[in-house]
Amino acid sequence: MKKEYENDMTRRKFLKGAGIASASLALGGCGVGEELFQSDSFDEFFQSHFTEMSPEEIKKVRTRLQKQYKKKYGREFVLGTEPAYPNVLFAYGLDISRCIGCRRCVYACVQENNTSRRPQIQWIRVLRFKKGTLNFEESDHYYEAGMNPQEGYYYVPMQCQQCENSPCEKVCPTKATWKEPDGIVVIDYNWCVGCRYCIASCPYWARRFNYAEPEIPTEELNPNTHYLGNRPRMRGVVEKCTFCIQRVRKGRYPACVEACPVGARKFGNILDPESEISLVLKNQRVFRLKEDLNTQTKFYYFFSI
Amino acid sequence: MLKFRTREKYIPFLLIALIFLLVAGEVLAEQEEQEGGEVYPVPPPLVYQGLFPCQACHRKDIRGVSSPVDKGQSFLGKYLRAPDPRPRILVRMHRNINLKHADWQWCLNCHNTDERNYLKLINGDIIPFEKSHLLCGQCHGLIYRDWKLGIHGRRVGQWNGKKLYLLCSHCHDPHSPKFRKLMAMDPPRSPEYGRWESEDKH
Repeated sequence: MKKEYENDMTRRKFLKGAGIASASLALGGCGVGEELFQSDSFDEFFQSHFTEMSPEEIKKVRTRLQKQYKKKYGREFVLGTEPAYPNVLFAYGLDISRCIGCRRCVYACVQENNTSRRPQIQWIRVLRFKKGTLNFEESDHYYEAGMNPQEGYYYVPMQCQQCENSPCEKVCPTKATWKEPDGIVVIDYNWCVGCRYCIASCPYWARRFNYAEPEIPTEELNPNTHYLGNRPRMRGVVEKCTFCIQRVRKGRYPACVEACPVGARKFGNILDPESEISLVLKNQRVFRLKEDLNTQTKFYYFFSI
Repeated sequence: MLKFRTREKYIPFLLIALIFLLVAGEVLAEQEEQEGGEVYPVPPPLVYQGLFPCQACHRKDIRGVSSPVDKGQSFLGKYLRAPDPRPRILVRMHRNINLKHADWQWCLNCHNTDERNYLKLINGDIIPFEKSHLLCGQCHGLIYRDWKLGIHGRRVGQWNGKKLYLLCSHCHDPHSPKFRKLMAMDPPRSPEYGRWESEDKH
């Protein structure tokens, strides 16, 4: 004889059934299942590493990001994914005797590369040294704006040196930063997890971190971007100078080269013997910063007068 | 019919040969003076407003010498004086041009006396303002060499293609070429512990 409590429907069975029923109602009812598998956040999460993407995947990423930027900033962005030119290795020359420390390069870079205004991020730092010393400990990069060049000082602007043997690339745990064939060390912002090991390892303090959501006034945005370069970043990723990859891969000079009013900056392809930078390296006594660290940087400094 | 005695009959031929040589020499010299190499388009040289063309005032008169024209001084309305080549500070005109370019400079060292729309070189060549780099290059030879290679001065354009070349006078004022000081832009904000930048700093 069946006892009263010996029921077919146990508590366990009831809860199981109720759970399945409510879940299927929720998913099937509003079609969330469909959206989940096609949503942007899903694509973003399961995106491959940029170097392993096929051209179709790159195209998909582009359209997705362009849509996102349109929604967020209200402007049409051009997201380039140009690869490097063949037989090109970029190098940069900086004439310290000409630099007057006016910081126009700093602000041209900020304007070109969509860096955050609040909190303020500047990729180029201009160090001011007293004449007679090249001791970094005694340099100052917070010097006040005055009529430059000031007596008794000289100026050395610094940005990412695009090292051939870069420590940042070595320490990145996710390989979010790597060196492209044309020598530029790039960061894939969708792959960066924000651990900041690279900032700790960089001897030149070239990298900056987005501690907060970057704030840029919409009218100051530059819509001509590159995926690995100046596209708007999000909170929690590292960024740095990319030699204006969106410009140089189309043949133009970086923004800092064009902004310098005294012509202290030289840029070009070091593999072309007729380019300006090759001539500078042949004719000037160039040096690189912190050469004892063997980072093999691409940034050559010289005094021309 | 002319009758020539002995070797006088050769004189016309000698004269013709001499003239031919002179003309040929001129033509060849002109060819050598042309600049070899590529031609780069350059924006027009900066000119002082209201002062160019110089020959509006420094006009050649009938005697072939340029002189400033003072209207209303004589019955004919023209009073022509020969140009004064002595180095001095100008008092009547061009007082706003501050000449501070090496200690011994004087206007007519570079500006052509007879045709004021042009400049002159040390070897006597007359060049237009569009070729003023030849004049500057006479003294600043190393800079001129660097400029021709593209490693002097500001570069705008394409690193693998067309670049914008500027003349010396686009950046350097030829009368007082030392750069004036530029106002530097604001320093980066000093980091504040614990919060984003406040509005009222700087």
